[in-house]
Amino acid sequence: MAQEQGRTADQIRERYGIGERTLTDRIKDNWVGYLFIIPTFIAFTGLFYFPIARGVFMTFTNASLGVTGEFIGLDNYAWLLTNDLFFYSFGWTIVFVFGTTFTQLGLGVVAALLLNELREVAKDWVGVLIMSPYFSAPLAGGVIWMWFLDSNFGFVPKLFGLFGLTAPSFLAGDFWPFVSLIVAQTWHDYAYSAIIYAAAIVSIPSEQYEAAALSGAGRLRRFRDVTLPHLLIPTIVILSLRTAWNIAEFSQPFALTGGGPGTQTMLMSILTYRVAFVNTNFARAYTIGMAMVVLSMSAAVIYVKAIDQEDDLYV
Amino acid sequence: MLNPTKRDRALLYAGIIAFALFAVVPYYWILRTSILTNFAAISPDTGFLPLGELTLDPYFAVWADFAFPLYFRNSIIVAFGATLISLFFAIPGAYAFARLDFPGRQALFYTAVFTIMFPWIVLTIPVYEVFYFLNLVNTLPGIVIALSIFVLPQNIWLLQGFFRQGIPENIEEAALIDGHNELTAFMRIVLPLSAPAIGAAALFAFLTAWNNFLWVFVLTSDEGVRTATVAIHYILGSDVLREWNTLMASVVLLVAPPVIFYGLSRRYLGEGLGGSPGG
Repeated sequence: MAQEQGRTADQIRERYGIGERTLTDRIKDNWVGYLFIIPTFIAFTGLFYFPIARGVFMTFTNASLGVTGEFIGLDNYAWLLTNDLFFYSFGWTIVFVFGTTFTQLGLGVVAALLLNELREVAKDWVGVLIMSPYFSAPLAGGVIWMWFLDSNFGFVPKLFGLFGLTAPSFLAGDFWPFVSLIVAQTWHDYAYSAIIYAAAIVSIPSEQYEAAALSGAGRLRRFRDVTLPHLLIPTIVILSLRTAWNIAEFSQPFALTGGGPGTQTMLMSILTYRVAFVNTNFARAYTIGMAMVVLSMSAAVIYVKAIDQEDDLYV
Repeated sequence: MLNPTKRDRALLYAGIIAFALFAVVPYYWILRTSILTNFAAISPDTGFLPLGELTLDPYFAVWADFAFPLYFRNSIIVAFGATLISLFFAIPGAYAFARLDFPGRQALFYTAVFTIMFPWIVLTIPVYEVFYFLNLVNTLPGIVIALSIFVLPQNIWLLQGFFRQGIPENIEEAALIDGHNELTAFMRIVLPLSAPAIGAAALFAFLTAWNNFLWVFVLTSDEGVRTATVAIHYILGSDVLREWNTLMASVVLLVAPPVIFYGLSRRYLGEGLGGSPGG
């Protein structure tokens, strides 16, 4: 005991193997980190954390534009569960998201594989062409497809006419508006998965292909055994991100059909917009939004799990 | 008979051409309309490639007929403001996420991931309420603030990826040994090295803000603060006799800058181009 009195606190910690730094030590050591993160934290608090929390609270009130509202318990959720249009738009949103996400994924991987076979210069320029829809304003994408499919002036009906056929009206009727929305959305965003896949394919070490070729693997075999395993994580990343973003998609469907004819192609995002800013019922709109939030946050959880596996994040 | 390599090549080119057509023909159709006379634009007799009837008048009419100089000016102002503000927040934030270690970093990072996947239309509701109380609705500063939140997460992603991979760690270690502290090492060494990445992030932020429709649409009703995207929406919805060629010319002017700039910068940005929902 007498010996220990001569030691400093650090020496004692070291002696007994409890030299790990405490939380306060780490905070003291890393104050620069906090200094750097504070602006971001303030921005996130003011414009994400607080509004999101305020919105969730709002769903238990009857708040509307300019009115804070009173606490009304679960009435908004009761309203939601008895609302036919909500269930209709929920179902159609699921179909829309499922359809667009998987076609975007499929077209993206094919585009990336094809581009990878081209020589460098051609790859760049053809790549620019093929990726170009992704960079246009989503609202313009809606206008472009509205014009492209227009019964009187559109390209597709004119093409049908060339072969002596009459085109169906793509933005009206029972069936075609759904297809048009999915195709137009696929057009706008498939390049996202093409970009991610292209980056993943380029990063595959060529030795792995050479080794596979030396051991006699054919083209298909090499694709299956070398390429595919490297595409697993990108696939999960694309699926979860695009799922969340397709749920959130507003501008392009809004410009193309605006949820019409009538309420036939009403997506949840457009319904949320209409209830919030046309009917100015903020509380109910956010309640509808909660359904979207639950869906996209499930995708986000999968995404976080996927990027945990790999350190070079695709974010 | 084609030999296998030739057949593969033919398939490859067929696939590439199919993709290129799918991507470009919708663009071609508005481009075609935008250089026709107003009569030819709506005439059923106009061909697919009406070489005889071309005119650039719609591009002049865009500036004369509608308030497009104002709309494009607003687009540039808000995109520029949003770029500056979001970079001011994103540069230190991204550096902290990529390089510095502090308790709570992981948790913050994950909430940042969630924000990038949050449906924006839902977020507009409480933000509108806040802006309403702060009298920011229908003002350019309000739009700038809203758009800078919109581009902030993507800026953080782009830059943290660069800080993580593009700057060797021993550069900062060397700077620390030379007597810099973390702050001056960042300001004097890391920041100058990051200029190209920051430039790319700025371009990307500018064009994303330029493309944005949702925030401006929700936050404005006055014509004086409309941006070009929102103006095109309102012109489409208005009852006036539509001059399709002029309208399509304005769409071309709206779409061309991002497509051209992204195209030119694609090879430099690489996979960082992920971006965020068009919303």
